[in-house]
Amino acid sequence: MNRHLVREIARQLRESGGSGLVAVLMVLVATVLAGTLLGVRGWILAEVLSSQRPATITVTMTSPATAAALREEVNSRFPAAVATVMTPAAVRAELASWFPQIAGALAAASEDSYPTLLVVEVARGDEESVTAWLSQRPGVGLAAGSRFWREPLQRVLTGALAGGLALTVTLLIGCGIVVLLVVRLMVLAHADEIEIMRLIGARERDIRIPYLVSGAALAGLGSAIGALVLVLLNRASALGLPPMRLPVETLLVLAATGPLVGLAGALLGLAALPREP
Amino acid sequence: MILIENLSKSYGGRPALKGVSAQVEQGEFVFLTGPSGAGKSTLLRLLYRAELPDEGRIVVGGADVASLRRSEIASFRRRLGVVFQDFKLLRRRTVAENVTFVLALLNVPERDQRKRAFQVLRQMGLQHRLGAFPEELSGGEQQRVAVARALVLQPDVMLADEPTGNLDPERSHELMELFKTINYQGTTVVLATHDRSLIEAHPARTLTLERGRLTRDGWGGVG
Repeated sequence: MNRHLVREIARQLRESGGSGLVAVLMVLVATVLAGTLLGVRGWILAEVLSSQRPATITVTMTSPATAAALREEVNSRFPAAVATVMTPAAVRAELASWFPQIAGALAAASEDSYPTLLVVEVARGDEESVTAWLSQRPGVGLAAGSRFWREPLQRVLTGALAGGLALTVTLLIGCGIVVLLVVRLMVLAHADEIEIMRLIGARERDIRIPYLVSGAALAGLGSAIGALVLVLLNRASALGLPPMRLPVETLLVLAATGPLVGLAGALLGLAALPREP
Repeated sequence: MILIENLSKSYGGRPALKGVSAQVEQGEFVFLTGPSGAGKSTLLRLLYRAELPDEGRIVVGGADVASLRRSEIASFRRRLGVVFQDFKLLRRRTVAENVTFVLALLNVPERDQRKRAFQVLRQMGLQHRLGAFPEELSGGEQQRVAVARALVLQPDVMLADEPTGNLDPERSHELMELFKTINYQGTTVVLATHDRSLIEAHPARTLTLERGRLTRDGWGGVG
């Protein structure tokens, strides 16, 4: 890359000013949004909704004794199932561990306020039949399988991803349009200089490449910062944030999308460049 | 070196050149003269392919100008040195950068760029203004920077449109001597001017245009 190109690119990036910054921010937000959505979805699919994981059926029981009896029945009828009794005290302790802020209030409530639970883990394929069988057993209040919340979660996840990706695409298109306008305005502002450059022997590529690189650099800067934010988020489990599962390939695709969008915007913006007769 | 055959050009139906034919041999020095609006600048613009003719043919240095592909135009123009009437300097670049602009595009090493820029600017008496911007220069100085830029690639053909238009008589004379020197070194020079005294002081072959027609092709003054 010769000095002319370096100089022109630096100058154009400076001249892009606030509009250029808007393009950077749009790609940054788009990259972080898409990456976060994909990462969280990856984690939920792998950790919560994986078909490899057993289904959990939660059964409310009238007393720990009936729960223990039912556990024995479950173990004998479904040898592959894993049944665990949670006494009211264990339920209270579990809730207190989930919501430490209200642990005091939970502890103050009478133990009778908490149900006895029988938690049964079975293969996904057996979930429906085991749930139906359990709900018929004496002493059982409510029997609900994890399908009860898994399917809505799946729908919410799909909806959130579709909405998020639509927003991401909108932001990227917006960035492309901003780059297009920035390049178009610069081309119009530089029309005299471009004419002179041509007349003294500059090649079309000498004139066009700086605009293309500037457009790609504006959007590329946004996606590079976005990718960096995603890497930091991936490593932020120590901060108590939910972990993300974002494959390196996805991260690279997200990082490459910005420059491509900028390049496309700059190419369209260069349509304003008058041609030689 | 330059062949012009039956050249015509009009703007919005108003003819600027009508059936102009001429030939300039390699190493010649030719004045192109005539009153304002006679078509001198149009002819030069056609020669460096800023425009295309409506009719006729132009060959410069073996290149049929009108049939050049777009990708060939830049290299064609780099074989020419053009001094524009309005200088056409890059405002945001210094004198040295204006002169070395095309050298930088051609990836000439920076040291060589600086050396060549200094040489031509010294010829123009501008070696002390290397870092100045065009707007800091007088009209005459800008004109000389434009000449320096045209010279830096050691072109085969030099086209100059009223190059002395902004210079005092002494500087005009110096510039003409410089063009003559360049011409003695083998460069073909076509110099457009409406200044009769300049032609009388530096007699050479003179093509006279009037209302777009070539009315005289002779030696010396306008007649």
